[in-house]
Formats: sequence, C-alpha cells, structure tokens
Amino acid sequence: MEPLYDLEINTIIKEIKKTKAKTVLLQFPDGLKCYSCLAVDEIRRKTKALPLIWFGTCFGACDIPMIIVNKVDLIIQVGHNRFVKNPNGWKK
Amino acid sequence: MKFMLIDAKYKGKIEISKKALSILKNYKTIAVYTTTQFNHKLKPLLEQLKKINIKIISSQPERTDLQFQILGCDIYYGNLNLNPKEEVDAYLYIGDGKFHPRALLFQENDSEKNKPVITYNPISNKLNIFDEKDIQKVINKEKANIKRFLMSKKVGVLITTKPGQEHFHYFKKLEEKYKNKEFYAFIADSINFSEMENFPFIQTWINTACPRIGKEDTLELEQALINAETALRLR
Repeated sequence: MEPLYDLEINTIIKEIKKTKAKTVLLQFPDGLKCYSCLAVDEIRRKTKALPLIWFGTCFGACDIPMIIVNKVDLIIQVGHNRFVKNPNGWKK
Repeated sequence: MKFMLIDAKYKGKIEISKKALSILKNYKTIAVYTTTQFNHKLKPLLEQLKKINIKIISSQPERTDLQFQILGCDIYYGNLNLNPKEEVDAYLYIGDGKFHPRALLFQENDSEKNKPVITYNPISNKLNIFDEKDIQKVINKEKANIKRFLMSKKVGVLITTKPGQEHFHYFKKLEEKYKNKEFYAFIADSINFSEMENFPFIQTWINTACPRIGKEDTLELEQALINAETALRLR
C-alpha cells in the first residue's frame, strides 16, 4: 500500500551511511507503524545496518525511549518534528 | 547515539471544498492550526480563505517548530502564543483525527472563551464542528477528581523518563503547596495505569508527564488522577 505521507526513506538511508550506524532504531507513531516494513526492507537492501522497530509508544519528539539510547547508534523518529521543551512545565 | 526526525509530509494537495467554504464564511476571524504533516501545503488553503474575506490568525505555539503547528499538549491558555488582543471567532484545524482539535477545545476551555473548533480533513474533504460539549465528560471527570484529590492524604506523583515530558520539579512544588499531604514519587517510561492497582495506599494520582494523560485518559480510570498543573492552580 502506497503511503499518503513521504517517509523520506532515501534520507534515512543517507543518514545511516553518513553516520556509519550499525544498529538503527526506527520509531513510528500509531498511524504510520503499518509502513515501518517499507523502511526496514530498504535499509536491509541498501545498508549493512540492523534496523529495529520500536514496539512501544511514539507520542512525539518528546517521547524518546531512554532505555535503548546506549544500545543503538542512531534513532530515527518518523512523523514528528523538533519539540521545544519548556523546562518550567506544561503551562507558561 | 544520533537522533533524526522525519516529518512524514503529506503528499496530496489541500483544497477546501465549496461546501466547506460556505460554512467557514460564517466566521470573520479564524485561527488556523495543523500538524507538521500538512504544514507545507497550507498556502493555497489560506488563499482560499482570504478570497472569501476571512481574517486569518495564527501563531507558533511554544513547543512547536513551525508557525501554524499545534501539538496535542497545547491544552492550556497561553500555550498557543496567540496575541491576547486578537479576537478569534473560531479555530480551523487542518488534518485528520480528533486528538489535536481536542487540544484546541481544552485550551479554549482553559481560557473560558470556548470558541468552536472546525476541522477539515484534507484526505476525506470532510468538515466537522466541535465545541465544549465534545469535552464536557472529561471536564466533569476532572472536577470530580479534583474533589477526590483535595480529600486525599496519600498522593502518588507520576514522573516519566521520556526526555521531553520529564518534569520532576512538580514533585517539590506539590510538596510545598500541600504540606498536609504525603507525596510518593513514581517513575516509569510510559505510564501503565494497570500498575496503579499495586499501590492501593495511593488515594489520588498526579500526572507530571504529557498533560493529555490528565484529560481523556481519566475517563477509563477508576482511580482519581489529575494533572500537576491542575493541582497547583487550586486555591
């Protein structure tokens, strides 16, 4: 099924090659999880990196799984852009 | 470890249907918001609105990366960074789903203005109008949970390790404000509500992670749960 959204798989491949990542964690929000195989298949075809799909929540760029940050070389989160945290809390 | 974000931009075009435009015409000033998926395709839509003399207002909410972008956590008055002098007749959300439009409804409820939120789905070309009635159940549950919190002696404070949502500082603020209560700090990545059953001594839970946990999620919960911001604003 062709996704309605541009997953930028070529950008993902370029980043993996540029960073020489051996293990890559791919994070998708619920609505895009069904397309995760497209990225994995292409990563396997074009690089030697091991792609892992995060089997958990991906609510936004605020939601990075800290438990795995030291176990992978690269985390790629699809479907979100930069999150600007306010250290003072949720309300100004 | 390196980190990269991919927007997953929508590949189709966004055009408001004639039928939808005839409804939008009833509003003079509209604040427009969307997600990162649709943000790059807004320009023609804004032109359509201008052509029917709608004044467009928008902003870059405090935690976002783009003008016109909204996040699900933008639920409090002030989060949108809208100029308070600008009077808005309605909000227009471009995208699919109800999660982001409800954020606008909560924000409006917090501001006590309760302006309607119109959604336009560019994939189905459907328009819907939501208002405070669509969040009334959540607001009622929140009011009941506030009462339960005020009566509680032992309170559990939920803290997440998610870097963007971790706000440990609320724990101290709660202890300082409510000296007659005993607070217990709980930490996890995702907040798993079924864990609550293992701590029956907790009478009310306070959420410091994503503020949507203290909104719609409470409808499914037997235990009382409110957001830290809500607890700290009580007099």
